[in-house]
Amino acid sequence: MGTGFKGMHPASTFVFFVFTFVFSMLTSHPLLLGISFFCAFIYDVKLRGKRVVSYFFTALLPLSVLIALFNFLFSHYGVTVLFEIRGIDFTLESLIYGLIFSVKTTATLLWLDCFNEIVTGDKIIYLFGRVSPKLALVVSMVLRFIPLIRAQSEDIANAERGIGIATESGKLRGRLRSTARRLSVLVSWTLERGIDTSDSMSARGYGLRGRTSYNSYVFSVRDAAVLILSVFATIAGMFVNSSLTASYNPKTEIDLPDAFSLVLMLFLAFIMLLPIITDLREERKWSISKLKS
Amino acid sequence: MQSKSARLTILSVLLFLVLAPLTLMLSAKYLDSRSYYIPAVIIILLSVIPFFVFFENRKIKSSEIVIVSMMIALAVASRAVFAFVPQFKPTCAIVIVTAIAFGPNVGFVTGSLSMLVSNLIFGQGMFTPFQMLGMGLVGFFCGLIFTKSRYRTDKLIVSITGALLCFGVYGLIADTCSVLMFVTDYTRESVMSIFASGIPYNAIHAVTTGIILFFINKPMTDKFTRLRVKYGVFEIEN
Amino acid sequence: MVNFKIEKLSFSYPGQENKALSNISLEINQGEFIVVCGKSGSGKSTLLRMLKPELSPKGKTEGIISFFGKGAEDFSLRDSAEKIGFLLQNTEYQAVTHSVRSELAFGLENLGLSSKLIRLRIAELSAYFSLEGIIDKKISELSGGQKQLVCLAGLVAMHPKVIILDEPTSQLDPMAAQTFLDTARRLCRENGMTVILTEHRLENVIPAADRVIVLEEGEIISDTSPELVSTELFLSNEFVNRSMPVQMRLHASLSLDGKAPLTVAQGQRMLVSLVGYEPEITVPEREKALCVSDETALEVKNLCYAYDNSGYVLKGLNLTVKKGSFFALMGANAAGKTTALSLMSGILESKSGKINILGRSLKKYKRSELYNGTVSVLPQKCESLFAGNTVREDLENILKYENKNKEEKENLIAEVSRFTEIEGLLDRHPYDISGGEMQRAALALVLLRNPKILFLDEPTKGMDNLFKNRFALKIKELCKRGVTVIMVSHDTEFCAEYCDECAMIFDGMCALQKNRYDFFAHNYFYTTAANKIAREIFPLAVTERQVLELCKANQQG
Repeated sequence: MGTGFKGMHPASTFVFFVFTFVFSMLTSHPLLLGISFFCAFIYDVKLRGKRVVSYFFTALLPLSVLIALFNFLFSHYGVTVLFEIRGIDFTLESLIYGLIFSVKTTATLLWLDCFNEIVTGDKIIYLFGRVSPKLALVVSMVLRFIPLIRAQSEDIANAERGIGIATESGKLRGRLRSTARRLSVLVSWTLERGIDTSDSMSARGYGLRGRTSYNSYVFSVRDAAVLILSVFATIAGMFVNSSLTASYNPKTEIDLPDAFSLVLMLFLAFIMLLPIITDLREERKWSISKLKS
Repeated sequence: MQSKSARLTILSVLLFLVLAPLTLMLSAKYLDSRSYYIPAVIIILLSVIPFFVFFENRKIKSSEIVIVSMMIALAVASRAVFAFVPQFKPTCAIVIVTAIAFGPNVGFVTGSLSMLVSNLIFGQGMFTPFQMLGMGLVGFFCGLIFTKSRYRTDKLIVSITGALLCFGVYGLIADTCSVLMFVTDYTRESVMSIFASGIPYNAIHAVTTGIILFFINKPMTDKFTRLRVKYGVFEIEN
Repeated sequence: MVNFKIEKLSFSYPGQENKALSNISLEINQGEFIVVCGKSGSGKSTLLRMLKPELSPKGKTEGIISFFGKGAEDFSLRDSAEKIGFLLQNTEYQAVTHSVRSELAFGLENLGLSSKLIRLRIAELSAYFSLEGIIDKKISELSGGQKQLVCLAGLVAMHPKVIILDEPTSQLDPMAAQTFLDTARRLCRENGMTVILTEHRLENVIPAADRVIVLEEGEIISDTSPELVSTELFLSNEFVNRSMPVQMRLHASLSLDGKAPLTVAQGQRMLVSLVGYEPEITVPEREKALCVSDETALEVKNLCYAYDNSGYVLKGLNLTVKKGSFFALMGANAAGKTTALSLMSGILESKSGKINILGRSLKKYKRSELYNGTVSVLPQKCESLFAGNTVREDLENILKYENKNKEEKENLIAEVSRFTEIEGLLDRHPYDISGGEMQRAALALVLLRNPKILFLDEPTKGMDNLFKNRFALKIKELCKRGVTVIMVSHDTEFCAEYCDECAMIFDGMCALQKNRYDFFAHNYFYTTAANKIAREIFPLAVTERQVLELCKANQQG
């Protein structure tokens, strides 16, 4: 189940991440983006450790450069011309906005990385089940069959090798034919034996009226608090975003925050740090109780 | 029951017809940051809902739900079988044969869920909603074109149509996501250059899908026909 | 309370002349533990399915079944789901959802219970079935035995009055099977559930049963207490003769009076009362292996293997197999038996160690040469061999790329199918034939490769004793033709009865390799039931026949 933020109710964590995505995607203000990027980065490091650093350098950074470069090459708005090639202006504004846009994407991807760590398959099935129980059941069954099918395809490969009819190298046509045969064996096996699954379902009353859907999640006051705060944060984010101008066309204009926006920003930062605060507090509680015992 | 299902489906279609343009209008008016990813995702979700509502409310036997789940699982997991022909990804071909056998609605559900589950295993990405819609529509169109057609067993026609849909529908929709991720200034050349850069990848995907279809369409159709006779599954598709 | 009352029930499948069930009358009461047995095709499964309306086969039915005092029309599907649980033999395919928790909840969701109540039931179940360690796991991470236990727990969660188990342990190894049956017995004894069960391995279930029902060709030929089955039917019925536990068979073959012994301990007492503690003759005669030559067919030296960093599965395995012998490789679960088989047959490539096949290093064989006339493997799961629409199509496919003309190929197929007795099945779909038939078809397919060394991976799983006997005769015939047969198996009884030599893998090495008599005579737990019964008196007797002959010899003397 997990502890800390991961142990919270799926609905709360989901709404939290929707907030972070929406906020990061919609804002273009460097300060707001900076907050989002910073919070996402440290939480991801907290969750996944060193791997985040390599993810950042091997995937996110090249992507950012690519986005910024693409934007610089294809967008020619703005008033500050840096240089000109064959009558096309390359502007400072498009360079800056390209950079802003790449930070935006990076922040979103970092949040997505945290999302994948926190909102696991079971939680997605649960959330899906709230909307459509039948599809959630289908997803759960699919997740049951996938490892089964993988094991079977291994069995089939070994069986073919054991009688020497596996074509695993050589001409493409031969390999393709061999692969098609394997797939054929696999499909027959899966579908024909699937009648047992269907019997097992009917034997346990599938198809009776009034099916409920079970979940092992309990919605606590804490979960409610996170949910409500995330909703408030979304609204606050929209508000700050519209009150603080950050425009890059035709020229770069960025508002400095006034006192009220500053307060809202602090609030937003606090919400985005909420997961890591929750986790750290929980860890401290554990270490204290360990010391006591 | 049937009328309730029909009502809900119509309702969700209407919802889409009202809310999708509204989202577009609102984002055109208020989103000066040129980030259209979020409105796009909202529109995708709205468009997917009618299919899911229809599936949710139709009466479906346990054997049918098993078969749908198995085909989705095969679409995702049979990549293991294709280990010796790299570049060949069977997902799209399996979605297409399922759609041909069981009709547009099941086709859509198979396509979209196989992308969802595949991302569930390898981690969700920004592409997920786009892939779901794209693959779902490939399944939907194949079901629409072939389920009741006499060309369903024609190897060549099926594989060419499949390849075209894979290229035109799935490729286009998935690349739209790249456009939204890369482009900030929507000029013709910037958008086209993204789509153009996707062409080689999509072409390989489409051609390999066509080839796989050519090889598996017949045996798969035989197997489905047998299931239909033996267990009476998916007798009426509406 | 009466659970089921069946009066003059007959049933035939659509399009078939002979009746699958005929003239069955039966009353089953709450709390009984009933074993239904009979050879395959005797109608066991059909009878069990008739007791569960959702799964009842469609066909021509005569007679009356009443469920819990209600007629079939008044017994709703909801009643059936609530009161009757049904477990199938396929461990892999009956779990529906991906996690243990959701699997336990599945039936309860169907009945419409609230999340709170379901949580409570799962808590209770996890205590009763000791699932604490696996409750948060995925189904795919469980062993076969655990899967089956979770499926049983999923049924019990619904608080049924009756649980019906259709060959529940046929895919499990002996230890897991025992655990499963113990749990079923406990549900009956402690909670008063009715248990109705079919089994092919009767040794473990007969002692636990209250009633044994024997079916033959769709008719009940015996419905009595376990002590009396063997005495009533031993001489007249081949199935009973072959399948009852050893102690009961000894009792019947010695034509003793009174109740048959049900357990090994009772068997030991019976033997003592018969010949005393120190009989004159204690050394049994041994059957000579007929066809074994002195040539070595397969030699394994210092074989090591590891799949990944998690450690070595094999740590220096040494084996020698004589040409023309029937050789068994035994060992506990995950001891590396199947890995050894894959390495010896060239499916996996060994990294260190030597494997010589017919005097030549395995590495020096070309693939085409190795599998064309030298080595062939019958996989454990026969489904992995069939792709076509008919058995014939699959057989022809194997020969497709061989340099033979059409007539030669047809002759080859005809010969192999005659040998495996599948001539009548050639034009059937591979999945329309029974499990045993599919296995024979798979054997035919593998034999088309004309192997000199044939590998078998757990071939006796799911076979009843009658079928095992027939299967062993086929293998012996192959051995006579000079084929070396190497089998991986858990089945002590089968190996003791038919194999020439046995080896045991433990800790990645060969712990013991001896002829079958010496192999089993010195083991304490890993041995045959006959040896367990007779060990105090005839320590060297391993098979039932040996014990029987020694008893007779001492009685006469």
